[in-house]
Amino acid sequence: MKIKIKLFGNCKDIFRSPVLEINFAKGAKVKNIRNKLIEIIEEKHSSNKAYKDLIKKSAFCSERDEIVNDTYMLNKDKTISVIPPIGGG
Amino acid sequence: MFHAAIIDPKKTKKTINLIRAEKFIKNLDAGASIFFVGNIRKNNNNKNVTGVAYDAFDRLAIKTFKKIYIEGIKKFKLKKIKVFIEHAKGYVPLGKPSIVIAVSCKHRSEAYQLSRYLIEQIKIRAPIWKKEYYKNQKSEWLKGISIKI
Repeated sequence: MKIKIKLFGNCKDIFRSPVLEINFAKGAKVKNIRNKLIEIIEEKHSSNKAYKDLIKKSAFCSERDEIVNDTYMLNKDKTISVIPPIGGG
Repeated sequence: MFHAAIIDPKKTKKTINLIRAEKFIKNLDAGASIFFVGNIRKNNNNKNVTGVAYDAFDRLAIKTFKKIYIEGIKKFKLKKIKVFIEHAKGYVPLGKPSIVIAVSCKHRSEAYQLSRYLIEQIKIRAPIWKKEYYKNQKSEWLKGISIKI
């Protein structure tokens, strides 16, 4: 299943796009998305530690605007948002 | 009454300003009005700042503002209040405002309490990110705080 991954803040710069579209196996969890993003950093950014830490510290948000943990299964969601550490104001 | 918005000059001709805030919180039940304005300052971590670019998850940010507002009403047991929150998105140059929080309440103590509560909670809960731009042409995303589940 194709999942749209919306990116914000520094993540947009790291992945050079505001959104990624990646295929995942049915029953994929947030944990799989987090790992996939880390995998991309390992491939494209020579395993940049700061970038990987950013993904490890990021939260994920479902289509219903709920912050979800790594065990959340993407059954109905077609989009998931990555929320890196925040700091507005 | 409550108003919240993310102001992105790319999508709207509006910029953050106090005039809309003042109009919105006008309240004959209120004896106190507080305006909090967050501006871009020239120095951060010993670096000369020329501006800040904000990114925001607009829909979730507005929901978060509303959630914090409702919490504030309950926490301080407030009635007949008005709250206006606008946060900038995109590039904000040095000296310009990035956020306005305006509240009108019956008494000053509750107006101060609520205003303070809103900004402190927004800083740690609203999905907004900032990238600082410096005099030496460099820029960097600030580290920020992880959202708690």
